[in-house]
Amino acid sequence: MRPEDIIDDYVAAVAAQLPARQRKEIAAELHSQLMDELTAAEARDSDAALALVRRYGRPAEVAARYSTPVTIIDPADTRSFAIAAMAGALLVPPVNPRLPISVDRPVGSLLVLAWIGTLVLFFAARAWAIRRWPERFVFTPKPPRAAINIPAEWCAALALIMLEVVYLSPAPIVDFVSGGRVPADHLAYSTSFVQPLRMWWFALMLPLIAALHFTAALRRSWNAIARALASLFLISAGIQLNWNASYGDILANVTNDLAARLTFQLAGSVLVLLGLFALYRQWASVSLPELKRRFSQA
Amino acid sequence: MPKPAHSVTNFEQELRRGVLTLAILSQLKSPQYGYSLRQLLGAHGLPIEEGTLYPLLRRLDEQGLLRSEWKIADGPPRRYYARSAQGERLFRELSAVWRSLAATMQNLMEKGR
Repeated sequence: MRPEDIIDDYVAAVAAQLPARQRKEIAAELHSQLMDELTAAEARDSDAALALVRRYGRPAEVAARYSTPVTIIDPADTRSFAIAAMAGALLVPPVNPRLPISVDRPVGSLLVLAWIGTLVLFFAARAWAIRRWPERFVFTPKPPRAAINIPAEWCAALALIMLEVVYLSPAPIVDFVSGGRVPADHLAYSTSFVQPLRMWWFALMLPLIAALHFTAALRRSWNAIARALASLFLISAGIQLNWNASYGDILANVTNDLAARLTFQLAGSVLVLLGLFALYRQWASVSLPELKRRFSQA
Repeated sequence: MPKPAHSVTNFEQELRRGVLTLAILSQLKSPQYGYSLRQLLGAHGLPIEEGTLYPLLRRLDEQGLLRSEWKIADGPPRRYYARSAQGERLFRELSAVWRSLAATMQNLMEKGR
């Protein structure tokens, strides 16, 4: 290959990635500059031409240097984009025909792709808006929040205990609450469900999480291990509910069983997502009082 | 564990990148084409890679800091660049900033010895 051919090919590759209005002008100038460089080189051969264009850079990078490249996703938003993409993928219904809500594999893949496409559009619009109106995206401080909401911790613990009671014996409670209008046998668990491996794992998780909330309310603070344990128990409880929804019947009454499995699947998915979100927030947050204490000791 | 330090070359490149615009404007009182400007800067001790200099010339031209025209003089057609009126003003302002910055840095480095 002649050295001139290498330069021509390189200029064509750069020109193809330039905006149309600049293409001819920059290509002519780049060609003239590279030919000047080649003429001045000690050996005016193909190796020298190849070394020259390689030193100049990858055509796409060179084209980007001539103008401000359009950014679809701002580099500063890449992390948020990746997290949003993963979180959205978790919301796509599972590919498990034994669950009340499930999708075929192609539909699941399409939903994930549709979510990523939507995110790309959203982040592209956001990047454009930030460039267009930078003053609207300046940092705005939020009002300070208490480190722990004691009444909310008590309420969470009590709600979990109540949920435990309802979970262990739904029929008598619904019979009592409805004044006998809902017959108890409509909500009686099936013999398969009351096996130790199915019913009791979830029943074990709820008091554990409640105990952690009680402890936090009494101590007026959460420590990192307790918070992480609460999130992990929540995820474990959610997985249990989903597994039960897919494993088999929950209620003895066939008509109500589908509704029960559906409730288990939805509640389980919410618990898993809440647990993951809590874990992420804990991982991403810094405790400034703790940092200040640590640095003042150092 | 701290990450290994960058080589001196990386920091030097960053320093040089910061003064490129001023260096280019300083040499474009009279028209120069890309290669001749690169040679000129290199001869004064500021070698710049062609892939950095040529696109930068173009961007400065588009920003109105340079004026340019195609000319045929002793060789093939080449685009010649020179400071525009706006580039002239910027050159004077940046020169003042540079002198002040150089004095400040000198002071800081002497105190840091």
